[in-house]
Parts: sequence; C-alpha cells; structure tokens
Amino acid sequence: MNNIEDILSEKGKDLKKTKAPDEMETRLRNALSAKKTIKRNNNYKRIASIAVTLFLVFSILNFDTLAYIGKRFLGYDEILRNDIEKLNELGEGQTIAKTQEITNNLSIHLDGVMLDDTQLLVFYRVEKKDGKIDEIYINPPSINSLFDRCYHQHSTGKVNEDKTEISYVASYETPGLFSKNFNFKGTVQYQNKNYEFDIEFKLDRNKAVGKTVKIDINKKINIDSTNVVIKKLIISPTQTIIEGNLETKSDRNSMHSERVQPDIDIKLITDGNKVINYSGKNISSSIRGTKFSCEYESLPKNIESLEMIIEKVKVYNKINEEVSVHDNYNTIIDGQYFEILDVSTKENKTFITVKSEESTQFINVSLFAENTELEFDKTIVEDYEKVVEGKEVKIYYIRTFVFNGNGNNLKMNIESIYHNKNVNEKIKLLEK
Amino acid sequence: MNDLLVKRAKKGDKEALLNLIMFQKDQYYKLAYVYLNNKEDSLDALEDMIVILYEKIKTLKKIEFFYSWSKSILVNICRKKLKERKKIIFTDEQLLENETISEESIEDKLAIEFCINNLSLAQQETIKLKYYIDMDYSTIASMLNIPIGTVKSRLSISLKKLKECLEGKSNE
Repeated sequence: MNNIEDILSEKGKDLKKTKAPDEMETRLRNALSAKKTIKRNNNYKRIASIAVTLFLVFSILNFDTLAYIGKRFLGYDEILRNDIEKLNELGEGQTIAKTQEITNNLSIHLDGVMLDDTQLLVFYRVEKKDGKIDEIYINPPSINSLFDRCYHQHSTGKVNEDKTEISYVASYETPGLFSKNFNFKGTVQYQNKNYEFDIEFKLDRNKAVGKTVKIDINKKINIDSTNVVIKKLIISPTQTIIEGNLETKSDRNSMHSERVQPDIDIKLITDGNKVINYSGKNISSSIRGTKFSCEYESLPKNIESLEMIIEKVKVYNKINEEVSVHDNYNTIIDGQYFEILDVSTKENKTFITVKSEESTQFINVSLFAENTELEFDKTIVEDYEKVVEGKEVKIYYIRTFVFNGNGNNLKMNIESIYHNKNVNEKIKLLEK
Repeated sequence: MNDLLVKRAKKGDKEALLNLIMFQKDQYYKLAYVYLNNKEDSLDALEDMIVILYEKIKTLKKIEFFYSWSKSILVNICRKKLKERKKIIFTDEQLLENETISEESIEDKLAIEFCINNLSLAQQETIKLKYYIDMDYSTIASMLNIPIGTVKSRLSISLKKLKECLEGKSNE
C-alpha cells in the first residue's frame, strides 16, 4: 500500500510545483467587475428598527390627538408655550381641580397635570383675593410620593391684572412607573409668615399625553480639542430633547480652578427652514465628563424632515500666547478679540484691565516684568459691554487681572484659552 | 487571515475579496487544477467561485471559516464542471494538452491515471486532495462536508482499489 502512496505523492509532485498563472488576478478582477456592485449594510436589524422608529415618529406626529379630550386648564394661556397651549386646548392632561385654603383670602389651586415620558407639567395658581399677590413669595412646591420624588426643573408664572392671582406652569421630572399617589407640598410666605400647604392627588397614567420616542443618534464630531457626541433624540408630545456628551481634552485642574463650563448651542430645524423654538439647556459636568441636554418645543405635525445645526461649541486651545502689556493694545488671540484697556500699579500690585468677547476665558495667565514673573493674585469682574455690530449684538466682558509686584517691560503670557467657536455643522436626524 | 478583509468583503468590497483569494492564489489554483486538470477550466472555475463568493459572503457567519467555506464552494463548482465535461467528448489534442510530460515514463503515468479515473468521483477527489495537494484529513472532511472517518475509510478503499488496478495493469 505504501508503494501506491509513494507513487501518488510522486504523481502529485508536478502539481505541487504548480503556481497560479499570472493572469489569474486579472481574470478574477474582471469577473468581479462584471458583477453589479451590491451595496450592503450588514446591520439589517438596525435598519429595520430605524424604519420602525421613523414610522412610529411620523405616525405619532401625524396622529390627531383624540385619545383623551378633557377639560382645558383656564388662565394659563399667556404663560404657555405654543405647543403646550395646543395640547391644553385639546384638553390633554389630567384635571385635578383641588384647592387648599391657607388663610381667609389666600388659597392654592392645583388645576391639573400633564404627563409624558420626559416631564410632568403642573398647572397651579396662588390666589390672594385682596389684590396683594405681589406681597406673596412662593418657592417651587415639591412633588413627592411614598418612594419617589419628582425634582423641579423650571417654572413660568404670571400675575393677573388685578393682582389677585399668580398662575404657574412648572416642569418636574417624570415620576417612577409605580408611583401613583402624590403630595403637592410647599410654603407660601406672606408678611414674614410661612403658610404651608399640602394637596394630595392621584396620577392617572391613562391620561398621560401621547407617546415618547427615543432615537439613538450616536454621532461624533470633532471640533478643535472638543468631541461632541450626539447620543439621543427624544420626541415627546410636550418637548423635543437632544442629549449628548462633550469631551474636552483639557487639563482637568485648570478647568476646575477657572470654573470653566463646557457649552454647546444647537438649533433644531424641520423641513429645511422652520426653526423649533429653543426652551432650555442642561449641562452637567462630573468626573465622568460633561453631559448636555438641549430642550425645544414639541415638533409640529406632518413634518417631512428634522435636522440639527451645531452652531457654537466652547473649545479649549493651548496657545501660549505672549502679549506685550500697554494701554489700548488690541489683538486677536485664537480668533478672539482681546484688548488691554488699562495698566496701572497701586500698593505694589499691577492691575491689567482687559476686554474680550463674553465667552472667552483665559487659563493660566502669567505676567513677567523684566523676565521676572509676578505672582497672579486675582481677577476682578468689572463690567459687560453691549455692542451692536450691524445686525449682530456682541457682549464684551471687561475684567482686571491683579498681580503682586510691579516692574517695567511687562509681558503677559496666556497659556490656554476657552471660547465659543462658530461651527455650523448640520446633522440630519430624521427624513421621511 | 485578515479578518478585516473578510469584514470588508462582507460589506461588498470587491477589492478586499480579491485580496483574500490572491493571498492563497496557489492553493486555490491547485485545488481547481486537481479536479479539472487544465489551466483554462481551472481559471473558469475560479472566476465562477469569486462571483458566487461575492454574492453569498453575507451568509458567512464566522469570518474565520472564510477559506474553508470558499474552497468548498470551489470544489462544488469543479465537481459540476466535471459532470458537464462527461457530456463532452475530448479530441486527442485536448487530452494531450492536459498531460504534464515528466521524466517519469509515460506508460507508468498513464497507468496510474487510468486507475484513478476508474475510481468513483468521490474516491478520486479524496485521493487527489490527500496526495496531490497534501491536505490533512480534517481539511478534506470540512471541504467535502463529510466526517473524518468517512475520509479515512474512503482513502483506504481507494488505495486498495488502486493497488488492485495497478497490479492488474502490470500483469497485462
């Protein structure tokens, strides 16, 4: 048998020496070229889920809100944003209609709540029948259940003409799913006296307003040393939210010592040119980084497309710029206007007053007199200056840097700078 | 193996797919040649293979199996071509072209060839893969989609048959 195996191996020797012919590559390439290119995205599930989400989004946006027609909350028209007013007109929300008399002529009315997955809107009024509502002071009331607390986010209030009533629409965090019975509690101050109130109410989730859709965007954009990560788009009946992170590659110590807050301005646009009104922004920094949440009014019905424009981002740049110090000296540092308005000395201290754009912050500023460094003492906030340049209004910030000691031939070194950079980066969020 | 290339090929990148094949061009060519025994048919089979790979690569679940998967596709194409060839009658010139002339006596060579051709197709391919291109049992098993035990028994039977055939030939 071995002999046959040897014969076979011997027979295979010729083949083992065989090499692929030179034309093999060309022939294979031509065969492939003749084949129509298939554009493939392996993530079919993702496409399917996006398609479903888009369908849901457009369905919700185009759906006539008929699910619950209730009583509208009266007296809030002037303080309601257009979108919430429309919901109110449709009778969305849950009527509570509970009143607590605090004194003879002071009472609190909890008219109703409007709940969706992003916030709990509370409609309440403080009534002072003697027309002295101006003398009333009220902190945002708390909303608690046995195991839950809804944190107050923001409020809008308005006093009526005869000064007998102030109406508030307050936004609270959405309560946990299993909380039902709540206490609307707070304190009213009048003539240095505190009057407490506590109104119980039951939250009816069946009367929550419509559906909320969360869409993952996960888009990263690099602007100088800052990475902007757009994480989520949240569309609820009461508001639209863009959530993301800001990753700034700055030195953490310098950030904290100067209390620099990263910042971003985002515009939300539907159908190419309709701007959705901006309603607020939350930016929180922790050891894990900076998170932002930009809030806008709810989206109108029948939109065809939605896109966002990152208008400005606060960027950090290490510049190590040397500036010769003398009065009325101006220059551009990292694209930002910088002017020295005044240089003076007093009690062995040097005062340098500078003017810069409002958002500009200087990190690690040092002063040298004849090559000897003068110790930085403090910054004194002087003033803000409003300048109208054509259609644009610019605000300049004037501050004085104080250094210990004085001398001649002053030179200032600015190690790094924080400022708002115009970006105008457009990102498509939804398209029909 | 370059996993990245397979991933790119899965996304429809033609150049990545071509590069994957060209990295083992000799192996692919020999595999086709072992079945088809001539350059043109082997290149035709390889062309057919790359087109099928391009169409089907999205179904490849484990990228590390790219080479065994693609070679088994090539084997199937070659088998199909062999079956078609049976329907075609070759001229003498074509037969001669297919032969490689070596120092070995043409008679001996033709005797082995004759005996191998007398084996079944399954036995022939097992013998060729094992002895002509030195494939191990497990590779042959995965390529032909049969258990290793079957490969071994098929080889053993084939060798026995070959021996009998060659002995018969030498007695003639």
